[in-house]
Amino acid sequence: MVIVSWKALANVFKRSYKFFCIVFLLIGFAGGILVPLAPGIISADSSSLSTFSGPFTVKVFGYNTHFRSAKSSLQGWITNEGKQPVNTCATSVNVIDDTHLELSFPPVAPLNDPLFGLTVYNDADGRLYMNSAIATTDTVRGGIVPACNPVVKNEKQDHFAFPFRYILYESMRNLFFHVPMWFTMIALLSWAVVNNLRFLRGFDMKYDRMANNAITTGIIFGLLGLITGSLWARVTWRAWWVDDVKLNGTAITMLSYLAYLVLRNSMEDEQKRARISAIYSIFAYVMMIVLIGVLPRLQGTDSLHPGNGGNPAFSSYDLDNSLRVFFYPAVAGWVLLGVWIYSVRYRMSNLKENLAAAEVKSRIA
Amino acid sequence: MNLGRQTAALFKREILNEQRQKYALYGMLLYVVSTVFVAKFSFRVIKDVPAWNALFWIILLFAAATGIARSFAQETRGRMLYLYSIADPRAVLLAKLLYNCLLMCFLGFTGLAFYTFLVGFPVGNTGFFLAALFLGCITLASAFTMISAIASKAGNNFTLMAILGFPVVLPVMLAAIRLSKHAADGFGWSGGAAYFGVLLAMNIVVTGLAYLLFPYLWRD
Repeated sequence: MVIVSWKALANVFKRSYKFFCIVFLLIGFAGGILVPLAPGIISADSSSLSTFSGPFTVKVFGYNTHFRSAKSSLQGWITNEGKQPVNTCATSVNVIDDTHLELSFPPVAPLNDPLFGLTVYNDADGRLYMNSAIATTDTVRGGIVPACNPVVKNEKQDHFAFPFRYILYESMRNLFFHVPMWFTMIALLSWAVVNNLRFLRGFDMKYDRMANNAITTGIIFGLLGLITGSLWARVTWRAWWVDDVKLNGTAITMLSYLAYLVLRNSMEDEQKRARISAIYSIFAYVMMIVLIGVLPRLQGTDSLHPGNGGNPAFSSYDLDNSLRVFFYPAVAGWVLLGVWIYSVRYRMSNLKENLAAAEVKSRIA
Repeated sequence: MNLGRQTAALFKREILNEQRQKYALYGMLLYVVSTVFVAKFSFRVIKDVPAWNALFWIILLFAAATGIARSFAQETRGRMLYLYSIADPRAVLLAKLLYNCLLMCFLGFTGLAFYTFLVGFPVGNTGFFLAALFLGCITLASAFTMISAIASKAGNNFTLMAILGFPVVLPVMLAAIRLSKHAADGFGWSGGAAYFGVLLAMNIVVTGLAYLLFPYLWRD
């Protein structure tokens, strides 16, 4: 049996964490910025789909697609999304460039659903599908549907890429920056609370310095999380700030920690300051748990975040394995960076303390 | 003397104190009534349930902030020292907590009576609404009691009380407003159970934290 002492483990961590921090951050940045997005269809414009008196064309706008270079295997078809989907193939394909395409279709009447899904296939991109891509206002149901069976060789493109998601698109990369900020903030604030409790047990000022530096570093990461989240919201939700339980909860949390700073600076006496701010910090931490851990998860609250207000969690359908490869290192890297910043600040405050003590000593002597 | 009896004795002292300076209680009541009058003159009658509900809770919030800020600030330093030397500090806190809960409930229910009289009472499920009001008042009181203790230790100004209290009280207000809106809309216990649970949990957590942390706070 091998017995490893906590001290030895802590020593190994202390010696190696900066290395791992840099490696993980590099993986997170490199993967997050360099890995391309899988090809997909951004939008489809149809001409005169409301009549069905004659053939119509659909303009397809692709993203990261290879329409021109894989022209020979290109096929396009629309699928009426009824109970029994029926495919209708394009009669001619007009490739404009790698991302633009015009498909011509014979007259089609909707079976039992006014919505059509659009699929474009070529050997390089695989099967690209857009849900409810085109719609018709035609009320005639059960008309003639020219059916066909498209030939599909490879379902998915085989090189490594992030999944293509409607609305999210490239902003998906923010996952590697926005989410780790919160992990880091929670980690630092939890460490602060641990040290607040340790301080209240023995009134050792060392723990007060630990807690205070963890909180100030945590606040920085919280603000970074708000900024990255705000940017993401602008791209996907079209607003810098939306009325969302999670956003409001985070804003209140940040305010309570800013109030902690005000409270701390309003007192002169060090012991008293440490004691009272420790008590308030424990309070603020518990409130944070309620605000961003409990309240948003209740049913019936309005939230746009995945995993909140009754929404499915990100990982249940969106966190593709290709994202995981970079997401976990990114989280670890940012958390370690937080620990690094914290430890520098903490050691600096220790040095300041020693300096002050030395000055007092020299004055007495 | 055990904690319970000490608390009871100190609670009696709080009530006696209030009786001796009745102007403070009347002042708070007048505050609530005049705010309700302001609401009356600005809105006449509020038919919109969410607005009615939110306005009522905002009135209560400010009543709580002004009323409970007093609870630790009014004690002189000497009197506090005397209390701590004869009683357990936790008993001092519990007595203040109980008294503030009572005070908030009194303000809440009399406030509601005036509010109903002047602005209207568009509530669907009255029993549930009163339960929500009771729980909300108690939670507001316990949250503010601890904040008032912290603020009184740190220079004792009202600005600090507002800054510190706001983030702690906001989730309480949020849950209370949602819960009482749920009741005012006429829904029953089944749908509001989650918020009721949150409010109750928050109450227990805040009171528990105050109980555990106060002995560290009072010493100078």
